Amino acid sequence: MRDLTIGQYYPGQSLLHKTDPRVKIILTLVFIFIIFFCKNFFSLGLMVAALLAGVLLSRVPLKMMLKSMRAITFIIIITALLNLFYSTGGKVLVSFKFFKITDTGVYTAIFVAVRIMALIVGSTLLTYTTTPTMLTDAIERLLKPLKLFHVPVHTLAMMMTLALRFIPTLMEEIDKIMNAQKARGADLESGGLMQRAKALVPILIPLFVSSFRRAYELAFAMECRCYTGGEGRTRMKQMKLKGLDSVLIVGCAVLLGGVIALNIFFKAFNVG
Amino acid sequence: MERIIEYQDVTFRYEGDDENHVLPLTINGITLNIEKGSFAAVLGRNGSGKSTLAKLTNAIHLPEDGRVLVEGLDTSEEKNVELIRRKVGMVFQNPDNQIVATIVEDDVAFGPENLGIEPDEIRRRVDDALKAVGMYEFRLAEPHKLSGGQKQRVAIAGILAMQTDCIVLDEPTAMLDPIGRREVLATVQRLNRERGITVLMITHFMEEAVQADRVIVLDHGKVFLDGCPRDVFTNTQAIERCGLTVPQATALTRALADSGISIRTDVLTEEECVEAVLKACGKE
Repeated sequence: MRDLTIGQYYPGQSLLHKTDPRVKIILTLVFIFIIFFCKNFFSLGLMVAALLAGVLLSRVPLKMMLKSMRAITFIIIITALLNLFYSTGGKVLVSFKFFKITDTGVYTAIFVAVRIMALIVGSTLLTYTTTPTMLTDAIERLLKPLKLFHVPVHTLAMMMTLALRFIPTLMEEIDKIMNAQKARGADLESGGLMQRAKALVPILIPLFVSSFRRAYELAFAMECRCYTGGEGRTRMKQMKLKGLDSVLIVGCAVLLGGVIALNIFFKAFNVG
Repeated sequence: MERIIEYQDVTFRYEGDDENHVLPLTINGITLNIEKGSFAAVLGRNGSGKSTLAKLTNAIHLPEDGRVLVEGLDTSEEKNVELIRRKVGMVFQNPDNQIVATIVEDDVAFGPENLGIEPDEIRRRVDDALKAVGMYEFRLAEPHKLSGGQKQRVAIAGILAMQTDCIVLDEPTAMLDPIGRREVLATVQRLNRERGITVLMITHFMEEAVQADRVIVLDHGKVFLDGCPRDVFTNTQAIERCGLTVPQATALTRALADSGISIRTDVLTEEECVEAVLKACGKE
């Protein structure tokens, strides 16, 4: 339980690790947008190449990257198959009763599969190179303008940080309670769905009670350390845009330009 | 000696479940001064009011009657509360329930950030505080991967970084194993000696209280004994009357003396005990 890591941060000192998390969040969103903007294999190929460069730059092992893909292999296969069978037009390659596989279908299937993979790798690159704390911090700063509309940005960010902080603590607690109930003869592993759901009640109730006690004590401890909300607080870790960040921003702009150019230039090869 | 905390005839009781249910006084008329730079330990059995005494120092609890003054500031005045909390830091029993951030150094920075201090100064204070408690090499660790003693030292660093004059520790070692207990006690002692920080430590371990300059024993919400550890612990009868036991070293020499061996009985620590036994055996 102790080894539990929150999120899926891969510790490192690479350029991508050092990039301002705000820039990383925005660029990831832009990146996703550009990927959807790709219309043919040439522009998509450019994005895949950029992505590979990003992975190499982050020094996160390729194996880790592929691991994040495993969970959604099923979705990729289903979408690819749907596209394979339902696309019309183009030369018929194979035909079997109702099913017809056309060359457009094959292209679309590959195109969609590559696009989904690129999306996943792009977003995991963000979570692999940014700690959850840095992410919440960056989100707080990015959402700051919403304060004008009376959105309690600081409170929300503090809640997120505390939730992240207490996940491992509560996991340990659940483990302890489960063992305590088992020692009293509770049966958690047999029976049907209803029975198992019922067996969870004696675990959840003590968990809730102790969570409230923890919340109470934590609130005291925070008050004792002069916490009065977001007003008048300073931060130890400042976020300032550096040269590196502007390079990445310019790089992303160039990519967008490249994709548009390739989309127009190879219009004849557009997929779908 | 300059006083940092003054209790003036303080009483306090917890609120009952409803108006008809009035609980007895937890603190029943305590007058006490804590001197600047001293290391005082507060002892007492469960329900003696020792934890409550700690919580009265920084306005978590307010006295029903009497006054608590911190460097002359009355805790019952709303406008003083923040100032008082800048002077008196508090470390609680459960290390898990007082760590706020997911990274050690961010947690230590929490207090100074609340005070609105400049980022560079916070960085300096955080590094300094972590070095003072010997946790500097863990500054980037995640708190849940630390041992109890280490977490408690991080909590102490969090108070140090606020540069309070006084640290109140409410049974900081109760949930720790013996190694963690030793780590925390050694840290607290060092801070008291090297930095002159006033320490008020609530504990129920006699071996820890022995290390203080002053031991205050509470019973039924009143000060029962108050003095240097040697005076307090050699008063075996009184100690036992309020439900406590003397340190093992003291108990051993006392038992030896009772069985007719001529031996010093005012020993407090293991080392002193060994010395006394050797002397009684005629071996220096």
